[in-house]
Amino acid sequence: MALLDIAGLTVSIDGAAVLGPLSFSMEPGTSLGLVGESGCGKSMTALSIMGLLPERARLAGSIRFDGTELAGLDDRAHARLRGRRMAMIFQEPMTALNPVRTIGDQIAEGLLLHGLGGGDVSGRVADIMARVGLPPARFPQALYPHQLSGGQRQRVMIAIALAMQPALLIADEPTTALDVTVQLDILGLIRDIARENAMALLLITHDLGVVAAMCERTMVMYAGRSVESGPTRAVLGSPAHPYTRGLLDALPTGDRIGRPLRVIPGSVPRAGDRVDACAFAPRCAIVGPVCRERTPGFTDLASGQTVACHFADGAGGTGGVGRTGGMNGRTG
Amino acid sequence: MSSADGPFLVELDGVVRDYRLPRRWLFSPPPVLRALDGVSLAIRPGESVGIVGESGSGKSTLARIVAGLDRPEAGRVRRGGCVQMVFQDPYGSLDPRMRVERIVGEALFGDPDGRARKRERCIDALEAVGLSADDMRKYPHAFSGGQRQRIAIARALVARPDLVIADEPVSALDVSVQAQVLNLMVDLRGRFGMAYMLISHDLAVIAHLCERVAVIHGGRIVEEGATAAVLASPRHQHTRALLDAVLPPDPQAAREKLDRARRS
Repeated sequence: MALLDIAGLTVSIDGAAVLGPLSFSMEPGTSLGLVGESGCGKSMTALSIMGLLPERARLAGSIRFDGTELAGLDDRAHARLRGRRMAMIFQEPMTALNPVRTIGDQIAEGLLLHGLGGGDVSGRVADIMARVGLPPARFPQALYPHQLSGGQRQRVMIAIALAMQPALLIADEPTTALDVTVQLDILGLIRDIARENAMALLLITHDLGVVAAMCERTMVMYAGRSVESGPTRAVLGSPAHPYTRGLLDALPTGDRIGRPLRVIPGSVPRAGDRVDACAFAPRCAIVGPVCRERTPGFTDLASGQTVACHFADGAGGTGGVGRTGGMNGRTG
Repeated sequence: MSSADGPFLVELDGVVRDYRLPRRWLFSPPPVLRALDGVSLAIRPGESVGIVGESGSGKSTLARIVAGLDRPEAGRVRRGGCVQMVFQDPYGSLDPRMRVERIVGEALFGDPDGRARKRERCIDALEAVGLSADDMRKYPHAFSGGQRQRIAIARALVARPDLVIADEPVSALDVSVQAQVLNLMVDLRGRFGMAYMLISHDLAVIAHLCERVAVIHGGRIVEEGATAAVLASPRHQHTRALLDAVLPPDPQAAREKLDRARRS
């Protein structure tokens, strides 16, 4: 049974659609990367699962996690799952950590809250800290977040998440705020910890190199929807959606010094500007009349991806036959 | 601005810059952070030089010293032309209460041209970056991040600079928009022939725009040379660390890099 099964999820804020409809599922112990630019809905997806959407947000559709329906779940029931069964690592560890509490307290908090500490909470915290690369000899539990570097703070965040041995670990741009030379250490740590503990990893990033290194499957999002999903090898190696191709082409690579990069013209649509058409049509290189009239359905390709493009199969205008609104991004 | 006598547009010689940090105790002397520790660097007219380094390496301090926004404790800075600056955050660097006309036109304060001529120059600069005369009346909030960075570039351009210092000009932008701004910078250099000093943590961005690169680490330039040569055969260990940290969008290569980093 899938650990996480999202079907027809939509989120709107003050009447403006910011996400969806979005459908995907994850098996236990698998890894999925959500890739896209600012405003594509990737963070909203994470917050929907965690039950941390802003007060004004309205959620519809279904999020089944571990056999429980999360849509419409009351806050207390959601809080019992949060931390215990699902945990999240945020982009900016300085704002996500409490500045006036010691790191030992913050790692222990979940254990105490969910009654998992057993007799020796402090010993358990020390073990976890050693595992994330904060050995007790150099990093006493009495340290405060401001005494640590950005990378060390992110290790504390990982320790907090790891303490509960959750079934699902969500990491939202976990290395974007860190220096590049620290990035690999933190990514490697997240990957190893997810593997060792058979956690499913949902990794949110704008960086195609990060999903390439970390995730078996990738889902590319644009304007609140999935445009392409499948095995990372296929999505990055033979991208089928013009947006995915555009993102890959827009990366500056050293062998094209001084020559123009291929660009995606225009900019991402603002939330609420969503229309009943392909949201990428205004920026698309292979746009046709049908793209401005109908939202594309999903087409499964032999290479393994599921693509939301009218021209996915090369024919044009027929994409999505019988698949509209269907499952995409099934992992495992 | 001094006259350009030498072959260099900007010449730094042994520049040192210290920052005094907050005192730990009321009567203790403030600790000093040496942000730049004897930096020497020269930029020729029309040349593009990249400065790559991590946060805290001193790269932004270097940009501020070259721009004349900050003064060195020791060493010498010589400047031989008009220097303009483009900042990282296009949301913070444009005054939200000014119209585009005033934002761009401010760079012409003190310029002998008349008002009508200044207006024409603003329009020319906006058109050069892909915006139009209609945008003159608008406020920054009406523009996307990429368009705002175009306005910031127009503001630098309007003064006809010999050198444009760009401090992380695309790192706050979406990937698809980054490429637009990088292309624009290449295009403008071709048309106006100014020199660039591009500050970035991203070697790929620097490689795209700059023929020469200097790697800065701990306030010192640890390696400098032709970009292609530095990328192909880095000599300093920190340059190699920066290169090793770049994950390519290729699952096999990216995973191998991650595995190698885990083992070391």
